[in-house]
Amino acid sequence: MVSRKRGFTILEILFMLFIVAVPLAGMVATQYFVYSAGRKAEDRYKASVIAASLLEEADLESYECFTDPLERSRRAVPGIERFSYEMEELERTSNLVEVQAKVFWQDQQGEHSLFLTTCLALRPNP
Amino acid sequence: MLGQRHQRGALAISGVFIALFILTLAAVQLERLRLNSGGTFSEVERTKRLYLARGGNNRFLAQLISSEGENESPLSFDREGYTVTAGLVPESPSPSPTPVPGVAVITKVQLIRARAESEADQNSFQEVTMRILKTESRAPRKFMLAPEAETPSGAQTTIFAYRGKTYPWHVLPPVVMDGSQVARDDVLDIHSGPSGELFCLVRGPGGESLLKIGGLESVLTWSSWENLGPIPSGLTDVVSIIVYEDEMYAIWGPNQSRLSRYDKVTKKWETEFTSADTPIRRLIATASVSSTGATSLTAIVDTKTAYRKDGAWIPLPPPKETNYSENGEPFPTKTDVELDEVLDSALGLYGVWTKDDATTIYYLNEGKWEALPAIPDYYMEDGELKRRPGYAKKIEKVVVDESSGGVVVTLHPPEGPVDIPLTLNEKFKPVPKQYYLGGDLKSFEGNYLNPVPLAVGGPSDFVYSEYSVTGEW
Repeated sequence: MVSRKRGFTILEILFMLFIVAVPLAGMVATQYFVYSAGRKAEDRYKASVIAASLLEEADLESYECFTDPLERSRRAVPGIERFSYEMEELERTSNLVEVQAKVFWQDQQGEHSLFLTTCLALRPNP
Repeated sequence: MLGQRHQRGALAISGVFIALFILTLAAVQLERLRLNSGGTFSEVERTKRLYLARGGNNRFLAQLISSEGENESPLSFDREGYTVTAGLVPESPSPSPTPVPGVAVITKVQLIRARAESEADQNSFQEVTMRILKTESRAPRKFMLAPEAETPSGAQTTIFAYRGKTYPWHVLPPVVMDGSQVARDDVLDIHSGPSGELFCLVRGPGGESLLKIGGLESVLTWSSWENLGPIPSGLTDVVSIIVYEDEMYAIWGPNQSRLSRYDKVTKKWETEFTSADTPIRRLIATASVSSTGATSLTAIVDTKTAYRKDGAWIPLPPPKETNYSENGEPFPTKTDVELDEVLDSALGLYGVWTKDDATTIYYLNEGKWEALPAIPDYYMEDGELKRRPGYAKKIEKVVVDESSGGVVVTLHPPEGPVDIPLTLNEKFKPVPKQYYLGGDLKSFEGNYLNPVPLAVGGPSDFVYSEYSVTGEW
């Protein structure tokens, strides 16, 4: 009459582990994918902020900056690893210069880039 | 048996629930990633469109400036998969002329708007509106001459006109007489008349002739030099000719010491005055920019004397303010002051007047002396310019700064001499290296190092337009 309590069989446990392990593996892969994609998006956003600040800086100093044509050379972004930039002058008239801020960055997939373009008025030195 | 089945089922169900929970978590993560990445992508695209639109506004503004406001046609261009359009906002505020203290009048307030939209998706766009003011200024005309030292032999006279700080220097047509370009050595004098026109005294085969170009209209419309004819005979060693109130005045003589006016009735040169053995340096004809419309003719003789024609030639009257109060304001005085020096800047005339130890610097405006602002009490310490409260008491030296049209004063505080530029006019943009050679205008990279300011008159009725941005982004 003593009730005989049984545990789970190995098969049952293995079955349950299988049911959990498959999505768990997917979850790990997803996490990696999310992390990697998130980092890519963050890098791209960071690049756009760097490019925008380069154009803002150029705009503030638009006369002095562009009295002479821009010297094209790639430079590292100070304080931000993996990122470098280059300013290119696309067109110039007597009172206008079209410039492109190019930001480059490296990750495991290789090099990426982002370009922002605008026209700056050549203003006199105040 | 029933209980055992339930227990087994519970384990399977628990496993399924855990699996579903994990899948849900993964789905949430993916959705968050999609939203974040999509948001970041949109933000980056928005930034691209924003800067393209800002560029569109600047491009349209440049079009307005270079056409002096004439070309208001909207513009459109493509960049990197975006179409940018820019133009005037039709409901721009209507023109309401507003005087700005000083020299300018606001004649237009306009809104310009640029739009950058994706070529693939026209619903993705960014618009930027910019508010601009158009001001018209009445200011002295300023001209520069290409320096002989920086141009090759054979280059002809090349004159640049200043049209405001937002414009590049404008090159005037070459000096041409009777169909041929005048050699640089044959140009004896160039200076401005009372209406802002330019006179050029040239040496020809039959004697000296006077050429004229321009007038009140924009220098952009000045097309050719007009030959006013040979200088009537009777003079020798002519160095300068000016036409004032339809009469011709000449500085001439072996020592540049004679000033004569040509009488059209008697057809003879009448002597206005002779300055002993001192050369008469310059004649300045100015037209008033004020409502009085008064004009004046001033002759500068040596470094201490200037005369103004008011019927007869009278010494320029002394200024009525000769010193500065403690707060830097000039105040009237009845005591006699002496003209210590006239500084003959090509872009204006400065007078240094003294009384005892006090020195005051004036700018000649419409035939009257106007005091320059008091000079703060500057001194040098450790290579840095510093300032004490109050104003400088002793001015050691005053010299003309040709690059600005202003003057540089040397103060002498106990710490040692220090030079202070007093800039009445704005610093000019560099003059581009261009010159006429063989009748063609040649352009080179770079700018002239030492362009020569021309001896121009005082304020004229020259009107130029400037645009300024008052609000954007």
